[in-house]
Amino acid sequence: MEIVGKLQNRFMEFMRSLYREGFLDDQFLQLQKLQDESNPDFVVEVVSLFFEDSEKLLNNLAMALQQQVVDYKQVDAHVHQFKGSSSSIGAQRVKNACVAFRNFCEEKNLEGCMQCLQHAKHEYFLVKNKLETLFRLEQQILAAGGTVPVLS
Amino acid sequence: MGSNVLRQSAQAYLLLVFLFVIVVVSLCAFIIIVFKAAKREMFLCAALIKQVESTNQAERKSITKSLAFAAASHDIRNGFGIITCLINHCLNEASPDSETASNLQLINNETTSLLGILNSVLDASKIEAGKMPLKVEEFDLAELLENIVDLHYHRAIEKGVDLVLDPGDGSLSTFRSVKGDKVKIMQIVSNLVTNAIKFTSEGHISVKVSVSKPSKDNALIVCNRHSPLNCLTRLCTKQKCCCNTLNEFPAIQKNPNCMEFTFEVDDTGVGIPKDKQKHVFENFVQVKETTYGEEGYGLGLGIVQSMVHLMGGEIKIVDKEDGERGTRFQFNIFLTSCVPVSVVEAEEQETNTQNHGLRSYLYHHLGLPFRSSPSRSEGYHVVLFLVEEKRRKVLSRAISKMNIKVSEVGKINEFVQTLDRIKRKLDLSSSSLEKFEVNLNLTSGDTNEVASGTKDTHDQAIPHCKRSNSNGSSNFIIIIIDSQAGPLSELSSPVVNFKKDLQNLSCKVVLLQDHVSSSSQPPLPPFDYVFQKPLHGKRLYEVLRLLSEYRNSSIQHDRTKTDQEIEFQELDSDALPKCQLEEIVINDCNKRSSTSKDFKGKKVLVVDDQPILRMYASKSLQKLGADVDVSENGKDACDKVLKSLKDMSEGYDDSNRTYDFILMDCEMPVMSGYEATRLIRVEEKKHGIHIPIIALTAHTMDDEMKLHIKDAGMDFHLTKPLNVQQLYDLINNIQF
Repeated sequence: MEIVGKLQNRFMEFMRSLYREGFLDDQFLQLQKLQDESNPDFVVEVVSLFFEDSEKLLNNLAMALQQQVVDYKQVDAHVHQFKGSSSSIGAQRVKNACVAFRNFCEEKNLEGCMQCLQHAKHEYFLVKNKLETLFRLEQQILAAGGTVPVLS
Repeated sequence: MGSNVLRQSAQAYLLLVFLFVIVVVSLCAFIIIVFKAAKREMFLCAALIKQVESTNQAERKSITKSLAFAAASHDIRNGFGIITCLINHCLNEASPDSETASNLQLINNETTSLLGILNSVLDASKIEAGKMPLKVEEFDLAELLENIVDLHYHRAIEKGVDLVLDPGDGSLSTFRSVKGDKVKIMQIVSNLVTNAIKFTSEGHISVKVSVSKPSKDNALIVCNRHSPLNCLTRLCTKQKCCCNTLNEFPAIQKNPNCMEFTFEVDDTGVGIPKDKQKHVFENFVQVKETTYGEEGYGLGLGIVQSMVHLMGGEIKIVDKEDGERGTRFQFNIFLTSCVPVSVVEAEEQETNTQNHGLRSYLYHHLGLPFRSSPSRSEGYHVVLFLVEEKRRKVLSRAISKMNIKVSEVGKINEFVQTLDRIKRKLDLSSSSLEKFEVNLNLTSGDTNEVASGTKDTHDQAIPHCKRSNSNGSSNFIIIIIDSQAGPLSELSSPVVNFKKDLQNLSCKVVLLQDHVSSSSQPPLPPFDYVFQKPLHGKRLYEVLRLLSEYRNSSIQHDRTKTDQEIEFQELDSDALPKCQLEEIVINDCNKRSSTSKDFKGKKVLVVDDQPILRMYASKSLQKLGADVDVSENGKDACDKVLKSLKDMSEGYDDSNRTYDFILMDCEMPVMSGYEATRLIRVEEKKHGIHIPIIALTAHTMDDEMKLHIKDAGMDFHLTKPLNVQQLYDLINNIQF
């Protein structure tokens, strides 16, 4: 079935580009390895959890930075959590944005923090978009009757 | 009486008329004035409206201009992005050791610096208004300087000028890891180096950095800027950059890790006349004495000065010694060192050596512990045969600082003589002591005659030589030869002669070439290695590492070799490396097969407040066959463990086992991992068992952290996110 082959190729190409451009790193590969017949939706579950969690965190961060007196410890705690969750699913660019964010938190630099928040948000939405596209491609392959190829 | 009234009424009448006329006249005058005023007002209004219009138009023009410029720069940035992408693509295609790859890397670096220039040109107005933010990041300052020198080296050589990176007193290698604005520092140094190249046609340019504790004097200078007179002049001349310095400076000073970095760019060019020295720092001024009428760099020393001020420092032209031509630019900036200063000072006091920089570099980057301070009796010796005098002096000083004997040679005949002398000394040392002394007198007589052209640290070391050689320890000699010193045949014959009569001695010869082509071509004997010029920084440490390798004498199986040396070694022992490769592959396969279901039946508790990490860790362990229980925070984990301990002690069968090990996150709400561990340990004592608790943390593992973990009672630690292989290794180690 040609369609399946084409879709699979597109999927592989897209996946490779995500790794190449640094959107995802090795950790995501580890996640994929954990998916098998007993839990076929593991990656989707974890990633959805990540999306929910991140959106909450980003809102909390935005609110915390808009306070009259900014509690940098709280901001730092949120960023730490964001960094942790993004690094555990392999969202490398988001994690890097968090690292920079934490430096500004330490220096209590409000403008830097705001900039970093924007940057982290931007990166998060980019990776969210990419991952959603990835899952869509997966669904298309499965709908066409093929199997999702695994990147070695 | 009637006539009186008549007369008076006539007068009255006249007066009335007069009054009436006056009223009319004044009314008219009033109306005229009002008219005039109104006309003037209308005229003024019209003029005002016209003015406002033209101001708006001018503003609009400038806004559209900056918008157009921003759009253009956006396109330029895109263009750069495309170029960088394509270069990276090419880099992936090219073989990693070829000249193509290194040239591509240089192009890449140049593109990045061009992009940096573009950004700063856009922000030029921002810089002058003092609103330029410093982008602080961690980077390696020594590496940055190496890159800058490498970038400009070829341009300088084409002009016949040598560009030397002077390690100075070695303090830069200690404090190489810093936090600061990398791009700006690169721009400043690049600008100064380019200027130096422009204005120098012969001789050398040297770049030196020294690090010291910030002095109080600088603080005073900054304070003076705040004096009322300065404030007033500042207001008048609209120089706002100084204000910002004041804001930045106290913040930097408060940091105990803040160090003062003094940069010096020294050249032997045409120099700047004293009266013009102050003016060069004015924006966009150039002293028009360029040799080839090259275009300006675009930044100007004025912006360089503003950037230096932003980093809390000063830039000035320093007087050189009498008789030396050229210019010396000196500027100091304040950066935060990533290595805690107290640690460095303590170590230096302890070991009483200044080799910390080299040691730490070799340890961290090349994975080899260099002998901390090889005393002279170890018998290391370096012969430096370089054409360029300044570079020779600089390198010899740097190497002798590491307690290695250095001989400097500038010409071929001196080279031959030096090699002869070394050989004679070594021959003599093997013979008896008296003979040695007698001959020594002879040779020292010789050396006095010959020493006219060479500087030699040998003579001081002769008694040491005596000591070492009488012990029978061998010497290690590295001869570094510049390929420009002469034709290869002339260079190789004395080396061949030297190597012939060696006993008890190891000698390696390094050739320095301008371009190192693909390393598949080994250097012709007697040269053992080829390195690319310029010899500094990383490459210098590589060459010196050759010395330490003799000591370890595990040349064949040393896995930390660089690619270059592996290439050369391959010719000698082509069978060996392949064997090693095969071994590794087999090992990996073995490891992989044993990870499946190896944790079967083990009860594990995973404690982490983040659901994603919990899910990931538990899934990974389940895949290995373990029975996983999860907890959200320390309190819950504690309760679970305590309950399981109670069940175990109360239950009569073995099925109620407690957990085999616990993965504990450190920072959690309600109760932290440390607290939970402590409580668990207390409870464990009652039952007489010890559950291995592995700490999971996202922080970097420094000593403080390790102590913390040990304190709480945890056994091991891993960093997040969980690496299953590491966990597996750790668990296996516990079992056996």
